[in-house]
Amino acid sequence: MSLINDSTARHLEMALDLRYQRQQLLASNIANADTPNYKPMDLNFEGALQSVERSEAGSMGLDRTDGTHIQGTADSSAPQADIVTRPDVQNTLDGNGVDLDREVARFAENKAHYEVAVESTRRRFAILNYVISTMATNG
Amino acid sequence: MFKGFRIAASGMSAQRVRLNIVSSNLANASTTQTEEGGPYKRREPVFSTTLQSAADPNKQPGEAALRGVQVMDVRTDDSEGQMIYDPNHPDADEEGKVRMPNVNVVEEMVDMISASRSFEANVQAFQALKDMTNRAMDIGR
Repeated sequence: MSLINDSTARHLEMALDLRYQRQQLLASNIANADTPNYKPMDLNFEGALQSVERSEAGSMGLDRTDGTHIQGTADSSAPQADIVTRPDVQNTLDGNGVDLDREVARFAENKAHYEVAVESTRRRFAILNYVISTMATNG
Repeated sequence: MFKGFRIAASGMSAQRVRLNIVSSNLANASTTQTEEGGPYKRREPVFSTTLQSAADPNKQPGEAALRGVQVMDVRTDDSEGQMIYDPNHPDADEEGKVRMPNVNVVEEMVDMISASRSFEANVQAFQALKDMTNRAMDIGR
């Protein structure tokens, strides 16, 4: 068992990565709110979740065909979420599909989600710290 | 990782150019003589997404889709301004009419507010990205 690199840690890492990636995409949408023919982009979070679930099912451990093989966990690859052009684009004369109000709202929401992930990661490390310090005093 | 900052900055810069152009249009709303001759013609910026730089070895997945914004061109609006009757004006023709610039002050004001809101949105984006990066540095504390 790996205490540091368990599935919780990988989920948190993935959440941090994807949320930051999405925040940058939303920043790109906001910067191009007045660019003709620009279509807003977003991450397909549902697809990302499914790919995580798939990799969870398949990568809990490497196959060991022989008893002498060392046990290892499959390297979790970088989180993949498809970048999609947002379907609910408003049609303007210049072909720009960015709705600034919604974009800023999504931005704030995504930031809050990111902070949840940061706080969870922080507390996870706090728990590890607590375990280590307890071991130090009792051991 | 820091590409978001550059994108927000490009948005701020482009909106500032747009505000400068609006100022120029407003300041010259009744200018009847220019270097090119004739009344002032209103200017307008043309925005475009910035091109991607060559393959970056440190590029993270998803970064290729990110686009900044730039002012590609400043176009001159060549439509004719309206004629007003003012016989005392130095540029009045024989009938006492003067060709005014094609600047509509109300339109410019609307454009100005729109530009300043877009600028603020980009500032917010920058601020939020900065907060997030700072928060991430708290993880190890």
